Amino acid sequence: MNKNSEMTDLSFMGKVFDWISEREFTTGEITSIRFPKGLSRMSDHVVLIDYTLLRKHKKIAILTWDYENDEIRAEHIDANIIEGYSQLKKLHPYITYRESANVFGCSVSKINKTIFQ
Amino acid sequence: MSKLVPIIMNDSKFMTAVITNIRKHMLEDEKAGIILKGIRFPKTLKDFADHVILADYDVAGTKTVAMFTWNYEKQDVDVDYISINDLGQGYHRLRHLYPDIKQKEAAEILGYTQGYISKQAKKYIEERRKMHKMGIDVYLKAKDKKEESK
Repeated sequence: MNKNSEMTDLSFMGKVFDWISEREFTTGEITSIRFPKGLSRMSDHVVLIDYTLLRKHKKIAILTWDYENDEIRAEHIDANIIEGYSQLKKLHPYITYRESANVFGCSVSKINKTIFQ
Repeated sequence: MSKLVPIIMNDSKFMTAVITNIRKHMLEDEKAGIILKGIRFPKTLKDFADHVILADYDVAGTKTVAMFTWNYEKQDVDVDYISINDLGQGYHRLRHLYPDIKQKEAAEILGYTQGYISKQAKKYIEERRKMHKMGIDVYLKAKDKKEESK
């Protein structure tokens, strides 16, 4: 693996802000930007962006640092747990319920209830 | 002399201005132990201000909300910091800064439900009353002692 640059939390945050600015999001589209804890198994730097597509489709963008290409890697999943969880599981097969709860910004019991209902 | 041309603010420009403001202080913040936990883009504060962005910080263990609004006079971003370790106190500070603020708006800014905020605000007032009464009692006792010794 070609680790081109040493990435710190601070510089990653800067890159995320650049990524957002380049896409000309409006405050109406983005609901929140989260800096979660407990997703270190997924990547050493993770930022989550909750946004709305075409004013109705709620999505979550999982931003991580791609050391190979020296750029932000963005994975988009549905914010709706039913669809979003299977998309998340496809992207990160070893993700735990607790980690999934962190991604969706809800409790572990809500994840369990929604998936097994 | 060049005349200051007012910037017509839109959501996208405002977001860039706030992100620039956050970035400007990021390095200093990290050194001072100030951790950015998240940024919120509220949708129900249009009556309160035309552009609002909220940032949640951990200031050396103290939960703090930074509220960014656009100051048309200064043509720059305005920031209010509200400590919410004691949510009731935070609510009253917000009310002090913006006397006309509605409880629903305050709840959105502080990031908790209206019911919880109202409960904490009542608790804070009760505690302050108790402290105030305790202060008066101590003063009266001291006064009595002084008069007795005369």
